[in-house]
Amino acid sequence: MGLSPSTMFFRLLLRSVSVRRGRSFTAALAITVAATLATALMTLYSDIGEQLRGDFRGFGANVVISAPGGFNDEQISAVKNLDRAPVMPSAFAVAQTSSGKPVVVVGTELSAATTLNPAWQVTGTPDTDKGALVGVRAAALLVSEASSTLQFGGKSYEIANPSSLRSGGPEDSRIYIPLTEFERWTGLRPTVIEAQLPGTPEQIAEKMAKLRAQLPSSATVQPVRQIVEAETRVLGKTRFILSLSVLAITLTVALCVLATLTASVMERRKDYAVMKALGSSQAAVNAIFLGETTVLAAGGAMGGYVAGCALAMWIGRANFHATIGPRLSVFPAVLGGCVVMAMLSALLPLVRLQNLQPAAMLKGD
Amino acid sequence: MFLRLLYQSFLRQRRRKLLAFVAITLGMTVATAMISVGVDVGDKMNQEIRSYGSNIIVYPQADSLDVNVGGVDLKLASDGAYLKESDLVKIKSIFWGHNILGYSPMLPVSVNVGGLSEPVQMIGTYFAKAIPLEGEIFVTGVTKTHPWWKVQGTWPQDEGQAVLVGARLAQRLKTEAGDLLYVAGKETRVAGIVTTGSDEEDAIIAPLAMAQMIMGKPDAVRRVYVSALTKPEDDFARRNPASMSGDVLERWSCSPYANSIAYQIRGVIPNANAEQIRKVAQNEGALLSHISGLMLLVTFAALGAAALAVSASMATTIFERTREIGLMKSLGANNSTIMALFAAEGSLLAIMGAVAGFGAGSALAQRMSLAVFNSRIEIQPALLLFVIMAALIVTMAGSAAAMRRAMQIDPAVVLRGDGA
Repeated sequence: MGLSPSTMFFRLLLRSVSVRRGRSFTAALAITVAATLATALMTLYSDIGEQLRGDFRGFGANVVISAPGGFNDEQISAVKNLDRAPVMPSAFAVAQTSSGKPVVVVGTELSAATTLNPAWQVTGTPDTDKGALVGVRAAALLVSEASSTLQFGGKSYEIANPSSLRSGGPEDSRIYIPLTEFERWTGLRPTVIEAQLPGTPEQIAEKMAKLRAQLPSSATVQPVRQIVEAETRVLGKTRFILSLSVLAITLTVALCVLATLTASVMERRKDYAVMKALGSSQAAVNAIFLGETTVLAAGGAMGGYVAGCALAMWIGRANFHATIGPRLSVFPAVLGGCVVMAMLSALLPLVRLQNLQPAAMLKGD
Repeated sequence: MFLRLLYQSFLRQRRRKLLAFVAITLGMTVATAMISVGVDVGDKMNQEIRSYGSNIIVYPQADSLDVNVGGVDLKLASDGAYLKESDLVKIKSIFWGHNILGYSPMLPVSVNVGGLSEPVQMIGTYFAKAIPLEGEIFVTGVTKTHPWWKVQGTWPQDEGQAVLVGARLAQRLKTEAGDLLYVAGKETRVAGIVTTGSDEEDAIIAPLAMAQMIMGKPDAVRRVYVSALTKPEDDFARRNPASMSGDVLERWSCSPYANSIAYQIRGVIPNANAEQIRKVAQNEGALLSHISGLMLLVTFAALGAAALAVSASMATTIFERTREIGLMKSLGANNSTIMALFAAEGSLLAIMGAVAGFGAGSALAQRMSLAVFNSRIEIQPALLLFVIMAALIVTMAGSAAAMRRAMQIDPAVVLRGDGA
């Protein structure tokens, strides 16, 4: 025939997979399903922080920078340039209503205020240049007043085009006006900058250190403990429980692959015996059997990886309304895991077959 | 004869039976554990998310505006209205009282402190106050509603005279835990230094009774922070209770939305206004539904994996027994008898595996819950029934294909040894 040993080997592999399609199909299916589940879960696991972090952002600023003496424009833009994160500089004053009642007026960038605090319930689209955001409790007070003019340091300010704001917090008692208007009226500079720095707690701590170095020592940079701690805690627990689940599920499917593949090799002990009887060496037969399962495992792993990515993507869309892209870093683990499982499943029966006589096996005992 | 066959089969083929049993047990263990944890994770995460702090605030209806800048309350003590401390216990008496995890009254008062020229804000509150309710003692205070407050030293007693000093104020005063401080003209022990990450660090945190005494207003409270377990808000939750008809209002009140709990608190505390703190209440809903949704999907994946493992092992055991089937057939057994035997064997294995798996799974779920959430979970006994049903279905489905093939075999071919 003139076939070289290696060509013969591949031909045997190819024939075995194509002729015994039914059996090979069952084994490959088991591997594919296992790989699909493993890929989807691992992708989810590595992406969960990213997905949930979006939810945490809704809680508002996670870093507060304050300086009793006020910030200049340069310092504010230094914070803004750090990360292109939402940044809200605020200046405070206690003004008097027309009947002399005190009310806190905050000068800030109104658009930044609403982006940074998505939980605020704001009616209408606030006019960010000249308008005002009036907390519901402050609004109730203003309604009872003769006019909506405020007094500070002998100068008056007329609230124009107000939108109402409801937060359930101290903001309800305040009036927010554009920073430029506020500065022209009171002459006060912003004393607090709230920012929402993106990233993991470690990255945020790093950025905070950078800010501390950039700003004068009179400024204090502090994390909002309420937000940062809860985020770390909830994320940690979710990760932990997800990792336990992934472990349990992966073990179960691995067992399933082991059972299926071991059976499919055991079923073929006759082929094994025939090959040996025809004079092939122990090593060559083992190589063929191992090669076969490896090919199956690699094929199943690749198919499963693609299906798993699709599954993870679907879960992302259904549960988080966000895209979870395929993670290439998962692939080596899935492929490696499948191949190792398959080799193990093939080796177990092969070790047993090793010691049997071909004649005895062929006779059927 | 049938029972004898069944009995002998279990006795003789112990290794094979054990393999199938192990597979079923393992599959059902994972299923039980994941269902128990998955069903419970919503409640557990809800508790965890409560570490974001209180989600409802209660303040007097007739109150004037808060005049608070940089943690300094500029509102005059004579200004505005107060709630009654003695009314607060009613918060626990609302329909959703069990969902109230804690509440903290706050009473800010301006005090003079030895060593500083300008007055300092003192906030009177509960730390871990034991409040007797019908048949139980309810412990509440900032340790429950503000879990991110960290104290260096010890927490003061609610009935005592010791106080906490905010970290920034402590730096200015150069005081430490255990020191003595002149507060409002009285020598006061500093129990600890508190870091909160916000304005309270410039204040003194004192027992409520002490602040009331300094202020000369016993029983007065300015506002109350309430931490409640709530259901994520949906469209129904956002409706205005004032515009609802009787039974819609009842259905709304019987759902633990932040809004309906606030509405019920307004009902029991005279002259109070209660509102959800939107920053917390709005976001925890989204977070919670995402986490529970994820766990639900993972639970389905676990069920799928368990089913796969069980059917794979069942198929394997039947494949291995083709010769036995051939022998039975040649001895005159018909297909239905063989089917019945295999079905009985499978069912017995499934039930045993399910019971063992339920036991192991419950233990595993308990371990998981203790490790992750530091609390026990309740395993529903009804789950056992479900697990047995699931095991039966999966075992039968797993054997079906293999059995059908087994039925088709020709006894002569198999017994000669060519059929395997």
